[in-house]
Amino acid sequence: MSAFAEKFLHTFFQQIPNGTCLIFSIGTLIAAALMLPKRRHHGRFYAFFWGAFLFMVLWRSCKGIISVRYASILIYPMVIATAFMGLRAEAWWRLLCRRFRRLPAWFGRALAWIGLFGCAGGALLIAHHKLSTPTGPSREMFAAISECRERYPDVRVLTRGNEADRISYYTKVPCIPLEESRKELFLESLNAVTEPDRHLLVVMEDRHLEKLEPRKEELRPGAELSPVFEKRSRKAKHKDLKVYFYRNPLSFSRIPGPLPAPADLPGNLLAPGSFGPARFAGSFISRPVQGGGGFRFTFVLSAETPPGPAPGVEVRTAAQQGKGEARVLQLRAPVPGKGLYRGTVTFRVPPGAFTLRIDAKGTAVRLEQFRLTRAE
Amino acid sequence: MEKSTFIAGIGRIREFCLKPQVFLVLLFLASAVMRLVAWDWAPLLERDSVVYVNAAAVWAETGKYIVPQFPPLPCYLIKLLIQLGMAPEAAARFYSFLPGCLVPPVAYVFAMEALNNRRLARYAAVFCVFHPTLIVFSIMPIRDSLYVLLAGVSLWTGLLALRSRQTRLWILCACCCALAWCCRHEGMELLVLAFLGLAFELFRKRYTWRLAACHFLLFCLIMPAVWFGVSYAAGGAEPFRVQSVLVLNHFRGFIEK
Repeated sequence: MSAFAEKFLHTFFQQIPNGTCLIFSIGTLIAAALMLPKRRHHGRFYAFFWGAFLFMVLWRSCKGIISVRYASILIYPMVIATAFMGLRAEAWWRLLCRRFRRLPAWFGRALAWIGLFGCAGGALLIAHHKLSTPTGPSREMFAAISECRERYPDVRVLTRGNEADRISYYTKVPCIPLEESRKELFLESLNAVTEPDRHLLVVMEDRHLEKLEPRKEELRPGAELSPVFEKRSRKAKHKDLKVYFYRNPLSFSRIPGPLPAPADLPGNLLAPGSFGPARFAGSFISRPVQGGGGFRFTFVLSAETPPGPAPGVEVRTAAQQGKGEARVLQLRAPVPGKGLYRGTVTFRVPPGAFTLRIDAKGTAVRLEQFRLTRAE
Repeated sequence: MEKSTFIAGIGRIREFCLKPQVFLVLLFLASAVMRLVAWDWAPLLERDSVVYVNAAAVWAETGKYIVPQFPPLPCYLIKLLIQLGMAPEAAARFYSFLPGCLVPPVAYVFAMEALNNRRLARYAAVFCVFHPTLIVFSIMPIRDSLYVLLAGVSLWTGLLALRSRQTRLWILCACCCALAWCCRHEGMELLVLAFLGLAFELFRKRYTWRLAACHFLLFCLIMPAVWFGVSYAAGGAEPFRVQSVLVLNHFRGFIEK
């Protein structure tokens, strides 16, 4: 079957009835369309009415619709057709009464009311079923995520893109959206996490979660993925939901409190810089990123440079650990014509407290104390 | 109380309730109750609704419309409600709740105008009160609730205009169609329906060529003009540009199909 015919049939028999009539079948509509023109007063008008309706159904079927909501205007002719069929039931009963004389005639009038309340009741049940059994994330899941946020304020959620906004709205946790719910994508995103203290909540949804669930050996060594919330659906159409807590093996934190004086740091290890008459106004140090056998810090120094060609800036950093061991790194980060100097520095540090010092022109422009701990 | 008096009392109440004006008010109240009950069944916002709520909240706060790919009218109305002092979610809920409650009365007047059968119109309107899709539209802040209402009003005014051949009704119909188009691009099909209706009336010789051409031309001028005006006034230049490109793509895609 050609793709066009398949799309046409899918839209005509599945999507349009789903959105517009649900319990009222296409058959009812066709029967009503055939019968309505027989009425004498307005007979010709019905031709236009149903012609217009047919046009509205056909162009949607030819073009195809993504959501049933695109056919919502068809609700009007659908409900009119259904109401008409309810009224016709009375006339049909009268015909039956003529054929079978034992049938009670009063039931004809009741039939229309039974039809009306039957359809209304059915519609109500469907509405209740549709609304009370959500197919996506539930309130319990949002509660579980919010609870994690209270324990780890910097937590992020990794989830399929189209649910990211809703999860973010109800939990106030920033989301990292993925294009689709595939195991490879989840794994790729998990293993791309390089910040040592990054906590992630991974929301997975699928009919068969086992297909998505990563095995321990697929994760980076030392990383852990523990389930926080799980909801399995009994309904075939609904999805299962699972939330995992992902933690990188090392955790990283800034130590608040008084910093050591620059004199206490191994400043003498730093060779005098030769970067001209630049004045440093401020600095920024990013969170460290794990990689290359150590930790890589990115820093930006704001500097006012003199007019003319910008001189090369030599920035030296020192990482001092509690034991006194230090590594000095040199780097040149000339950015001609700009007031910003950007550089990265990588050094190996074992778990424990250490101080990072950035020197420029022999002066400590930035001092930070950090603690690196191995997760339990 | 005697049985006959009781039955007569019931009859009088029924008669009163079935008066068109009273019936329309009752329909509105019944839909409101039904939707409030349904709200309790699904208190969480839908996926798409969150996009509207966020967009309107950001728009109200920063003055920037962040989803120019969506027609700006629904978000603009939510934004206005937020600026009146409502919370973003409450504003969005109210925005879709009110048009949702008005759909059954509109279905009644439309069915009455289309088929001229009071009983059938009543049945159709009662179905609208309980229709699951309409209930979902009403309790979730999405553009469909307003779209369905405006499309219903457009169909009703279109029928009135076709029957009465009055120019002012054609203008009113064109405005309603344009507003429906401002909610959903499917609203463009109302232009084709107007053409079909006029062609049909011409075929029935209820219209002269000249009058039909005048009314269709008027419709074709007013509908895009109102759409342009409302889209630009609501969203400004950028959403208007994106919307125009989307409309042109719709046309191109349809012709290619």
